[in-house]
Amino acid sequence: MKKIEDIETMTPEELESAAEKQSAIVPEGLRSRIETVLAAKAIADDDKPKAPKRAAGWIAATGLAAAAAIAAFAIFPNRASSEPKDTFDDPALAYAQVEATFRQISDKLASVANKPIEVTNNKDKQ
Amino acid sequence: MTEQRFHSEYLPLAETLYRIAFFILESKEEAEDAVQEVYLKLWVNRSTLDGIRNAKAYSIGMVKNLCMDRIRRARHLTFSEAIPERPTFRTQDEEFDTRRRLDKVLEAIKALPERQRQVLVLRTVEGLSYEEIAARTGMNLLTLRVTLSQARTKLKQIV
Repeated sequence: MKKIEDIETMTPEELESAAEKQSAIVPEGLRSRIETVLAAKAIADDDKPKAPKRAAGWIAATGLAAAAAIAAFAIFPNRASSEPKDTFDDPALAYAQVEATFRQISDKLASVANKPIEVTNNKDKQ
Repeated sequence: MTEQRFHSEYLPLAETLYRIAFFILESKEEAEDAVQEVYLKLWVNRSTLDGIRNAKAYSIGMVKNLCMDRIRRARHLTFSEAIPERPTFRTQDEEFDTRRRLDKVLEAIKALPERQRQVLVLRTVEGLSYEEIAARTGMNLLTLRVTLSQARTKLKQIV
């Protein structure tokens, strides 16, 4: 074996030139053996059992995507109108609407409270 | 890089790489082993080779580095710039399994009849189509498919 110090500074061209000067005989069938090794490697890699962590990675990624989609729909159920339907720029209008709404609620409550008695009375009257 | 291109650009360098490996290691067996190792690395990383402008210089560089590693291992020297990442048990196990698997497949291929071995190599290493293999070997397509199928079946049984 050569010394590392002799080899490490040699360029590829210098190495090729030095090797050719030595003119070592290349063994018969070298390329064929290399091709066989490469074929073995290609087949060994093709037939290797697929690493389960790859599948788990895909499953995890899909789950995360699904969870993100669900969370997005939960947080933003209606992206088209993120603002409430009834908004008013004019405070007076807003107050009037609130007043009307409370009146509605009050009427409804009153009607619910009074209704059984009224029905009974109406029936008796008839 | 396609198999065909790998075959036409890198495989013809085998003799040059062998001579360089022999020049450094001064042993026929070590030199052939080193060259096979270089080709395995090139093959595994062939998808990155398209960007390499000078295939010969690149391959010679790989042979040189690999041979220097062998010299270091043989002499039990360590150099700070060459200290590899500390392998974990898992990496060592994986490497051992990979190597063992490769050796098994290699032995199986060597045991195949020459014709089956030949078509297998033409298909997997050279990446030739069935038509191209048929033209190269003189076999008809049906015989070729049967031969390749038999080769693969034998390998599956053994491996």
